[in-house]
Amino acid sequence: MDEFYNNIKDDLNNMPEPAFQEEDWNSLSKQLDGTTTTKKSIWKRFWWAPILLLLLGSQTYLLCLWTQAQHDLEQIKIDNQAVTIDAPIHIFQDTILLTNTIYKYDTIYLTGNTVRQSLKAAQNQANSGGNRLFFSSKIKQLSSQNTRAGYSQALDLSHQNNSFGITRNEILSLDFIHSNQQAPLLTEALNKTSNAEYPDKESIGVQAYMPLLPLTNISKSVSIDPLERYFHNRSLAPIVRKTKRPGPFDEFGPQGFMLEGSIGYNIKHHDVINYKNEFVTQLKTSVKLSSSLDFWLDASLTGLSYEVDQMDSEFGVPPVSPPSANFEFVLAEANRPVLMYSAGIQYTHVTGTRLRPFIGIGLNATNTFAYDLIYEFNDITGPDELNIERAISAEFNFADYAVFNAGIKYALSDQWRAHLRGSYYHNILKEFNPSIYSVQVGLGYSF
Amino acid sequence: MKGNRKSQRRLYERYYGFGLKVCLRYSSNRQDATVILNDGFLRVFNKLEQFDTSQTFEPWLRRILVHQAIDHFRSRKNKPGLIELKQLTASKLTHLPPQDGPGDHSILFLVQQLPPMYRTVFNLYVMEEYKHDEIAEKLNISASTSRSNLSRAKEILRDLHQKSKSRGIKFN
Repeated sequence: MDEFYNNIKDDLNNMPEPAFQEEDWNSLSKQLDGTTTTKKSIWKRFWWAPILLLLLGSQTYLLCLWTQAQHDLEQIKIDNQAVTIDAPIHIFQDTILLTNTIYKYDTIYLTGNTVRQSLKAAQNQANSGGNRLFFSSKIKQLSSQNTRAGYSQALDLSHQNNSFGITRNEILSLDFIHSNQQAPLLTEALNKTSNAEYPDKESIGVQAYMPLLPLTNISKSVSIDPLERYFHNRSLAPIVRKTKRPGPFDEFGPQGFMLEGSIGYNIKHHDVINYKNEFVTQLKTSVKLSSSLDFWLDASLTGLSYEVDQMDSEFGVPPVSPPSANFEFVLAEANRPVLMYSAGIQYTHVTGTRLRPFIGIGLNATNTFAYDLIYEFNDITGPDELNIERAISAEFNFADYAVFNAGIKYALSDQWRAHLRGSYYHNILKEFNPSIYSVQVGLGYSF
Repeated sequence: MKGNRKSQRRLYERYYGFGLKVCLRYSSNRQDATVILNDGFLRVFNKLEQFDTSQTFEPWLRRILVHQAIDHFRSRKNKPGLIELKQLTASKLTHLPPQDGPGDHSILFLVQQLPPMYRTVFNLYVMEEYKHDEIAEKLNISASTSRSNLSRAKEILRDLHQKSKSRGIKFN
């Protein structure tokens, strides 16, 4: 080694030791407390754990629901068979006495298969001499076995095998007129039956009249299809008045589960800091607590990246010194990847149509991954630039944002939902965090 | 001492200057050096029971800090240009070193201007007296790369030094 490098080595070895800085010890002390290293390791290693737990929990809940539904279905089949055989007048499943929007009711959807089976059985019975009144081809059935005088008269059209049907969308109101003779109102029969079987439900009664099907058009081996064709496009006065819509807290408890995926765009605002607008992807799960209330939990992957021209801890930019007085601070920038979790309550307005608006409110927690804060300095005497990088540890902030959602859902089918959602994240914890406006679109599947 | 904060502070305060002096040679600024120093002391506190008390403490501490600096270099290896002067060449540094900054006249400042790879190789070879084979193994490079990096580092240092001298700047 030549003299020049020996001199360098000597100079470096003999360099005076820097004086002790209290703030450096404070920084190490925090690391020793585990506030930095522990958070970093846990969240860096296990950031996926909440998502996994969410998915596992939802799958377990789905399995329980499915098992319960199978059990209920079996029970309904057994009940139907027993009722069909034994009772003089039967009201299958949830009849119009119990619902206001019959064909949209979950219970009807769940029992559809059973009802269809019952209808087949009813047809067989009709062929062998019983009177049947079908309220719908797919939903429900009232049957009589000629044991109730008034009700049977209404159906007894001097023919041994009578069947009547109306299509699903027309199941609203009904009464009977035959040969200029006012038959006993079906209301009476329904009230007597329904009140006995469903004492806690409201009977909505009969509100209008329906012409009887001409007997000549009904064959003995009556099937549902000709009946539906006959009544197709015929207007019947609605018979079921809209009853009171269930309130948000009626029948409160877990009733279903939904999984949604969304993509969107976050627009951020801060008075001093220039935040970048960024895309966001979100996975959301919600539990249906009543007809209109849901509890939601979501995880969004996005960024909170910014540029700021002030070196101030208040704005997330702790002061650093340039290597010499020749360098002048220009700006600091950081690309902060974050995983944001939020949970809250959502109210959906049940409109009776495929479109349903909703609003929600919740709290957010943010897991910021480790990132680099880059300070840019310009050389005031020359063309050079200097970047100083400072590593910022991962951190987790709970309840840093209040979340407000509003949007609209569109039912693509019984299970699939498309949604358009606008969200506002109101910063309540860190002053240098921005307010976030988010617009998202996505799809959901209801279990 | 593990968990005894007062003792940890005494040890940190006692060897702060020595440790920071080592770390400053491996980094381009004091902030990075402090990060290396504190991460090194974390290792020290966690491995203190492995220290042979019949030996002196400083060489052991120095070994840990050098290894910490190497780890730090490896972690930043894939981010060229972020922590150093952009597009550094000796010819661009005509204004260096500044003549009015506190402590800037130190030869340390010249070493800190070297690109990270050159600086690390230079320190390991000249200051720690490692062989090129050992440096190659530690930095995951070939021995010939280590030699060429050292040669380039010396060239830049000599160039910077001469330019500074020509401007009448004396180093401490």
